[in-house]
Amino acid sequence: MGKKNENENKTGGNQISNGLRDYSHLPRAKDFKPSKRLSREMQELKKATREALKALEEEEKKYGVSFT
Amino acid sequence: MAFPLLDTSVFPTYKKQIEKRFEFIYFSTIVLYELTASSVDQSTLQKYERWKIALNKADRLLTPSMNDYWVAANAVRRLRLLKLINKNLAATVLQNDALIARSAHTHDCFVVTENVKDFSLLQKVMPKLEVIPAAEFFS
Repeated sequence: MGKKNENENKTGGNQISNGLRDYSHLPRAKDFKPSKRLSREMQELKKATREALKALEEEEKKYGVSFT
Repeated sequence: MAFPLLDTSVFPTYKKQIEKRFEFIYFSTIVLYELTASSVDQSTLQKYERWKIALNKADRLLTPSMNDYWVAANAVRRLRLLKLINKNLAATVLQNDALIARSAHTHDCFVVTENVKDFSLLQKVMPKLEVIPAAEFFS
């Protein structure tokens, strides 16, 4: 029983080398397929997200990253 | 399917990827706070405000409740008692990460982060917390 748990840890069954618990079951970005048609709220969100991320990029270039 | 909730650490490297999957990603008011508090230009502040409104309208913004603060504080307390963090560190250490972690758990999300060290620590006292490194998620 104890041996089995050891193996699980080594192979990523429970905890993996970076210290996190196994995340192999979690979806990846590519598993989320973008919709062909967006609702009005989502269209607004798309535009606002793009603008916010662009503003962040510009601030990083001008002032450097300061929030991490 | 569970949905991704982004930690602030993801933003410097993965902007394009975030934009591409924006409709499936959840954001925390904690992250919005960190981005806003560290911004400089007035125009950036205005864009963040529009983003906040749009996120809220689209139901993509998660705000910790009173109980989330309580559970997050208890989690950090346990880390201290287990001596997994230094007892002399400020009480606000890990506060934001713990709140993001708690929000993820209560909304059936998993955390996407570059800050694996702190979130792996939180997993020790938040057994249901799911975390994936950003490089893995966006690969």
